[in-house]
Amino acid sequence: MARSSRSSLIGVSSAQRATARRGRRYSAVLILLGIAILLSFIHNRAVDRDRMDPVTAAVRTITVPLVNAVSNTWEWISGQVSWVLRGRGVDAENRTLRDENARLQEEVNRLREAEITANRLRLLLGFSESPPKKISADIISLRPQGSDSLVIARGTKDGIRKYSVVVSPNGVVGVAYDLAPTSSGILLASSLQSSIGCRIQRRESRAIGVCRGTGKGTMTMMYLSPEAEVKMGDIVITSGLAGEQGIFPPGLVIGKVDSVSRPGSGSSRTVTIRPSVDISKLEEVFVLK
Amino acid sequence: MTEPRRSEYLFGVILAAFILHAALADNLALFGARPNLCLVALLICGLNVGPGLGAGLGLFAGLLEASYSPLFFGTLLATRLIGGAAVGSLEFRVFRDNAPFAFVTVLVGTPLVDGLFYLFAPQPNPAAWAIGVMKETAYHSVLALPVYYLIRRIMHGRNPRLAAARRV
Repeated sequence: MARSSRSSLIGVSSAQRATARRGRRYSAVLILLGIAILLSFIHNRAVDRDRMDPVTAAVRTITVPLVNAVSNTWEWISGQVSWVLRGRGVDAENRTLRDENARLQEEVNRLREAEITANRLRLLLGFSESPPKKISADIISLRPQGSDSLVIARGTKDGIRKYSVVVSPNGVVGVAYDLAPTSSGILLASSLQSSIGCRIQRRESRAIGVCRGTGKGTMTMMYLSPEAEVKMGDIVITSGLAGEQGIFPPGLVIGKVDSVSRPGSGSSRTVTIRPSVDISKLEEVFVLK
Repeated sequence: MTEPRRSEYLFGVILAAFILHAALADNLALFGARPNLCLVALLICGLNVGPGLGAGLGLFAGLLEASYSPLFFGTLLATRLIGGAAVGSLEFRVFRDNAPFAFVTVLVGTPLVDGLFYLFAPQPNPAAWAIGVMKETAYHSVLALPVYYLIRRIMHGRNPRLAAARRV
């Protein structure tokens, strides 16, 4: 009798101990969940107030040099390997590029003349315009978590502000969104949150609208007037009119019209744009100041 | 290996995986599939720890990933933390040091963590997103065993069975 009551007591206490142990195991998870919520709150508050988030800034300040070092080493190694593997191909490519370079040089000279004329006419008409300053920036991380974003090795220390425009030689890349002293997260033009004032470049059209990212690597041109003339292959450039993320300077290439849906009764056309910048091939970008 | 030393190694593994992921993810893409090395490392590291440390590793991985993403900060923190804690909660005596189970953990864990991400932050094109997750899962399942053996080697040295026997 006594033995059975003692064993049952032992049983209860060991069960209680196991429960307590399990509770301790999971209390750490709850505390960490609380920390995660607190960090998210700090981050969102900073972003809402257009301030730098101290948490992400600290993490990026520590990790950016390491990511940069790995990225540069990889580039160097892949450069060496590709040189060894593609020796003959590189020769042929060089010849093609030399030809293209000569053609482009000729075009540059022609456009330089046109620019001088345009500037002279602007002065005569009383318009003033100074081209924005460009800061070159290395890309240190492309789409690190699969979303439409990239990280560049320039930050607030270099004068980058929220919604600073980021471009590449091929056209618009996006805007600086998440800032740290030595790095910035860039929201791509094709992301769902992006919105840019745009225009059809063709002289006969010049239709204006707003280009919105679809989150699928393409963009849609919206708010086109019913009379606007748009056709496949048209080049779309920034209009210089405000989108939701500040003003992009006019004339930057956004992309090409990929498809134009036929207007149904009472519905506006859907114009799909393929961005001119291939994000996966980007190595360096320029931030406009 | 002592408990604090083991934790340091695991946090180091997550950091190294993230740095490789951030620097090379696009270069490692195959047939449109991009691996998330940080997530693979988290799922396998989670097998070596309890739920508390698993959640800690998850929070660390989430913080690293979220710092490089202009959007979805809280979602990344929460999904990685829950993923780490869930793998850490698996029964130690049965699952520890088991290569096939590490493979299964990555195979099942990747879509679950990504599914949780979708639940918190629905994506604009579910079909494209689902295809992306399937490709990522396939890539992760290829990486699972090499990463498992690498982490095992880091944790236990050259002779893991001997090290395990010493611990017992």
